Amino acid sequence: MKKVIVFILTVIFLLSLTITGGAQEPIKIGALFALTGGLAPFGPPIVSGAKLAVEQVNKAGGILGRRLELVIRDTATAPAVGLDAASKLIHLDRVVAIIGALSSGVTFASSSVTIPARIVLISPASTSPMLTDLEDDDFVFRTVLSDAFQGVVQGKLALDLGYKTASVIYVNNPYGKGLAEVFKNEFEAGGGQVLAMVPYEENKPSYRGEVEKAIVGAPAAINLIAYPVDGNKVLVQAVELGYEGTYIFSDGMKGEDVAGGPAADYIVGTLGTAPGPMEVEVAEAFEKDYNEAFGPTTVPYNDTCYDALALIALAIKRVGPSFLDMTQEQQGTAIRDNLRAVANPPGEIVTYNEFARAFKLLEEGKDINYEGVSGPIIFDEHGDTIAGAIEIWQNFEGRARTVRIVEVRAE
Amino acid sequence: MDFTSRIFQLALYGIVSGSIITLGAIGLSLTYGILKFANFAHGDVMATGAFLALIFLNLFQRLALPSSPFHPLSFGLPLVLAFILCMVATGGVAIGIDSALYKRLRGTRSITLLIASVGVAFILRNVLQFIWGPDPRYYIKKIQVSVRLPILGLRIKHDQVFIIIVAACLVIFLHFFLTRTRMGKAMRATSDNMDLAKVSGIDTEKVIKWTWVIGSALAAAGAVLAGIDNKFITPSFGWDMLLPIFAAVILGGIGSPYGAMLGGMVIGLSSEISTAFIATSYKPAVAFIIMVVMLLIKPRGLLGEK
Repeated sequence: MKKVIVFILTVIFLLSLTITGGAQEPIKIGALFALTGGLAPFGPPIVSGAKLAVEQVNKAGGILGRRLELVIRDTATAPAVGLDAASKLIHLDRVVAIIGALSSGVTFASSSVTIPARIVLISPASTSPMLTDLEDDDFVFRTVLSDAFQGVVQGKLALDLGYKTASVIYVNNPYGKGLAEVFKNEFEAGGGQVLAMVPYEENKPSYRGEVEKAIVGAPAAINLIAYPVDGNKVLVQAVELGYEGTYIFSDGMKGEDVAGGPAADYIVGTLGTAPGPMEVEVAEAFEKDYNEAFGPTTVPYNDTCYDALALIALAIKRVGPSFLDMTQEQQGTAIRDNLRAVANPPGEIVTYNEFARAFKLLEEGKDINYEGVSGPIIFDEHGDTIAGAIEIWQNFEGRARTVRIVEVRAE
Repeated sequence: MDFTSRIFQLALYGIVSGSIITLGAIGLSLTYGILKFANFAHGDVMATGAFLALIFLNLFQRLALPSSPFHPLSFGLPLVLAFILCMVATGGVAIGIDSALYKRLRGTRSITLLIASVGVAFILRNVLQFIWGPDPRYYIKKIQVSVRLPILGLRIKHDQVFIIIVAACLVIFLHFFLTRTRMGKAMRATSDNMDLAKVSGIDTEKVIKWTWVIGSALAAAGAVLAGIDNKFITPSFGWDMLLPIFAAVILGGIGSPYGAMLGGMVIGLSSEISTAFIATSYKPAVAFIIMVVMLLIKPRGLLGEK
């Protein structure tokens, strides 16, 4: 009896070996996104951008004969959880690259495991200027503009609107702090006066104390650099406390959760800023396909997320068939070394949903230059994209609508 | 706003949050007095009450009851009914938990009960989170702008006046219940000495049931009032409330409902007023420091008897 069981187990074991050997293992790319926590409303619509790219790559026949697979893990918008999730993506799921995270604080934390593991981390949404100078061995990239740009546009916007005074309420993390400081510099350089810089901690039941500090001196506007969940609490309490000035919002506050949230009636017509999108021809096709697959959204960064995934796919393809025989560390390094080659000029321009053509060009040994749905994507030596646009949006009828696009480019 | 009026303003907020803490603290103190264990699930029972009220509220809104708000309050009949029903329902939940779990552990050491209550806390919170998700849920989406009082330029919302009045009524009601009714007297007797109460013919099981019902109903009331003040509720709200509630109970004297009332007010006031001097993020630390200091210098609390 015992022998029979051993025999059967051996057969099953051998069979399982042949099955995994026979079926082609997909190439896995990790996605590190906030599905819960302060940025929970943002995570799913953004990650859908990457899903669309994966689908199109697979439709174009996959990469190097393998299918592409997206492994999504939740960061809970918390640095510690994000770090843990990144570690699981690398060591359990064996991904070759990671896109994410959203919040700059989480990206910082996650990078502390991705950098030593030699895994590329491309964030589609972390905008903190502090990420630029991260000691990352060139393993951290982003397809979104640094807030150095957004803060400048916010400052100019406040001046253009004729505000003499403003207060800033910002989330106390690298994103909030970085953006708040750039705004303050720009606004004060143009003659404005910042009355108060008030940081807030996330997930507190009440922000009355913070709001009271910010409305001292009745500023013409409060620049609210926040995420929707806590940002709504701040808005409610500002109204309750009788604040009658207006607001400027950061990208974190864009979307139906705020525009149609509890303070909806009090923020009609208020303006905000957010990175991208540039006036790109293919953006329309992207939006159409995205809406068909996932439904419309006004959440930003689904386009930068698409581009991040597209670039990883192209970089893997450029490495060539030897990629499949590499160790995980070698794969990560190879992706890093090929990202700029596919993203930056020179080379033949390829764009949205042109994977089949791009793969063919790469097979022929030609250079390509990917121009994405969010902009041309050119990585500088820090892994930052240097060309892009800042949009100015407005809360209107429970939604955020785009008012104007300001194109910016670093020298 | 000058410094004096700022302090008075914060004291006003302190009374509001003190009322809410008091309602939570009474239940914790009662269960401690009778069952002799620190019920860590009390905060999550509060949160459960808040979400039960949300269920009732949604139900009544669908039933097409007259829903126009009671001027000048920001809410109307549906929320008032939901408020009353959720107190009853939360009492029922507490009895259910007691007969499913704590009853089997009766007579074991209090540390066993304490650990069991931590488990209950986790279960309740995760069930809430599973059903409603982690994001805030709003009772009423309409924002109420606070009004300026003629004295010192203080601001208060009509809803906050309602909160103070309701909390005061509940506390007065509890006082009469404990001193004038047979069951109230039996509860106090059981709290003083359970064995003595048993031999003098008090049905202690019944007393325990009543303790759960009253403690949990008051906790639910506190939670809904907090929801009315903050405008929203989250599954983790109860857990966050636990620290100030424990601080209030320890300050007032463990097992003493009157101590809990006093403690709740002191904690509410001192936490709010502290924000005039220190960063608001440290507000929860104030309750913690008061609790530690009290344990060091007078562990029995202000009104503790034993």
